[in-house]
Amino acid sequence: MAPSPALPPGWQQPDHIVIVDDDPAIRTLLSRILREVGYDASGAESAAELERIMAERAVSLVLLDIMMPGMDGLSLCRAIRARSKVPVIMISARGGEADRVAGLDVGADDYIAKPFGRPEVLARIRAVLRRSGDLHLPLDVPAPEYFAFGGWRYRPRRRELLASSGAEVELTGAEHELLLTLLRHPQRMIGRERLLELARSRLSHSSDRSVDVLISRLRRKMGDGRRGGRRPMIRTIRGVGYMMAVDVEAG
Amino acid sequence: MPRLSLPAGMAGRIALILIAAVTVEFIGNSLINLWQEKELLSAERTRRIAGQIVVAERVVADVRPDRRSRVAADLSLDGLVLNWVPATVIADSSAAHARLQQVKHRLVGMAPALAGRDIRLVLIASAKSGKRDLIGALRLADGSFVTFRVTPFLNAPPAFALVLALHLLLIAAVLGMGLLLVRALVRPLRALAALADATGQGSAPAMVIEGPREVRRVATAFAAMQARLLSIMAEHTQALVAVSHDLRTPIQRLRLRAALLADKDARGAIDRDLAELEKFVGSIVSFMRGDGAEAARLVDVAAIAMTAVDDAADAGAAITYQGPDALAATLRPLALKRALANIVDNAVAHAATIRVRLTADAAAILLTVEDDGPGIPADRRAEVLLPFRRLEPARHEDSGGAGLGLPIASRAVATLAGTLTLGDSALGGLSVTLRLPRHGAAPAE
Repeated sequence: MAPSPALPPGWQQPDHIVIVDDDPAIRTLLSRILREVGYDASGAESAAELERIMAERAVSLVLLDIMMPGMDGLSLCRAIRARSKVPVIMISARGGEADRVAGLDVGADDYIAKPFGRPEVLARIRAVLRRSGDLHLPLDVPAPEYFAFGGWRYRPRRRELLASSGAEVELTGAEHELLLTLLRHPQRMIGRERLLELARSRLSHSSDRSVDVLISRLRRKMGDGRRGGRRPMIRTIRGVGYMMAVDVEAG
Repeated sequence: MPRLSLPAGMAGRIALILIAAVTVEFIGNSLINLWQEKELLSAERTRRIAGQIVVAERVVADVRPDRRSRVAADLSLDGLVLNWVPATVIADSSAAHARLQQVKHRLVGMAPALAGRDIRLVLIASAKSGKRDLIGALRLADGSFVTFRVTPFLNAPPAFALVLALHLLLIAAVLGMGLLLVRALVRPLRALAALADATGQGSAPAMVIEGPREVRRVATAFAAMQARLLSIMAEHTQALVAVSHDLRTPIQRLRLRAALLADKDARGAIDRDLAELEKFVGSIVSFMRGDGAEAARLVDVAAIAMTAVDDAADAGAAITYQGPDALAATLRPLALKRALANIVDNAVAHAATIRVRLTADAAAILLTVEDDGPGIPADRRAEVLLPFRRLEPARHEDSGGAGLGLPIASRAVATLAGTLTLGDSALGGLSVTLRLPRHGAAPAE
């Protein structure tokens, strides 16, 4: 996949990304890759250095390794989150689901497991930056703790979807992304291109599934439109997009 | 009350059981014998009989010989007939008969007047129903006799079959009791064997040190051996996991370096090699470390299966899912995902078409992954569940794994308290069936 330039239209200066990692080679390499696609990147070896950088200039995103000697990435993330809305992507060599949940619990916006490739890290960064720059969702409005809709319950922080029976329904990253977008804008049509763009950051780069396939998988997992002939919760607006057509309560 | 303490050793306890068995057998035997010869005379009746005999002797001495018989007969009581005879053919058989000896003593004990007298006692068959009467004669001073007959004196001897049955019953009871005690005696040994069996099957149960001295000694040795083995295993696991972890940072650097290469072909080749290396390292870490102590929770098994199928389909596999859209069960989701992902990966590596089926009944959930690949011959199925085995060296380049896919799945299924079975698929290749208990009985941690 050819790297698409991540530079936003010229009216804005490049996003500034700070890489917090104890490995100097990784800091250097990541910085080079990020600069290559047009971001402004700095490396920080420690919490203190990150603090210094954040004091000096505006930071658009922090890439944070949670496994650094002598420093707990999780508490560092909590500390960042306590003072700032800056988006954080956690990096860990552990790659376990427990770590992912722990990372998201302390306020990280996303999680990427080592070793990752260039396309993965760029896709995550793009998605997180886009979400944080979403004009519909100003940064000072905290993301809801949960969404309740049609008997279902979705906790975006933990990426947890619970059926009315209480059973947790596993979703892929792309399905989470789609569901979250639909839930954030209930009763509003979301275009297929926008949905696909969001889902893309979550799909492995070899996949070229259409939004329709992804939505039909999501519907099947949720038994949407099948049970008792009820109208589907996710409604198709033919040829244009999709809409969450039930009442969504956020809290 | 001081607590009775068991002998500490195995030999002592066996001896105790033997002694108890022999004692019970002996007591039982004696009781059966007593019952067979049960007297029908109470102490009170014996006293009256003795008294009556003494009275008869005195009365008889006071009357003329021709009236003596009548007078004696008049003294008869219920169950006791008295008579006087000038001479008798009754001979004393009490010398040879312990019971008659006893009766004689008791009579004398009740009526001291009879001490040292010539009392002849004999048993004869009763007029009715096989019981026995006691016939006795007391020699008077003039050489004549007062005779008496006690009806009935002894019960009829019990039927042989009944006596035999009683003895058999006694033997059975003693044997049964003995067996129960022996079972209790070896129970700690059996428990020890069960614990030893369970050790290493994904768990390390604590040894229970109990029972006789010898068994406690063995259990202590076992516990020490278990601790040594587990610590060695843990060290090896840690070393391997640490090495694999440490490999991730250089792999990460290589990946990023490769991304900066201008040569597109070299970049692709390096990426593929690194992906293989990553997969290898990842499978070693997940085989060695497992999922740790994951809590069971209510999850939708169908969604987990569909996700695994969709992921494989997105990566280019021809894979389909058949089953319900939702199936809630309480289990450890990470372990199930890990098992399923590894089984599907294995199928993708060896086959073109894959079918995943999910069914359930009240007791269990069945997940079957079938493929149209070469399959695994029945005699080698056990082997592929062992780590680091590959059936054909030729597959190495294709799959790129460490030969850990099915072993990882097998371990994960064990933590789900389920079973993994390999078989022939209707599609012509391998079929892997997971059978999971519906209400996740968690095995010992």
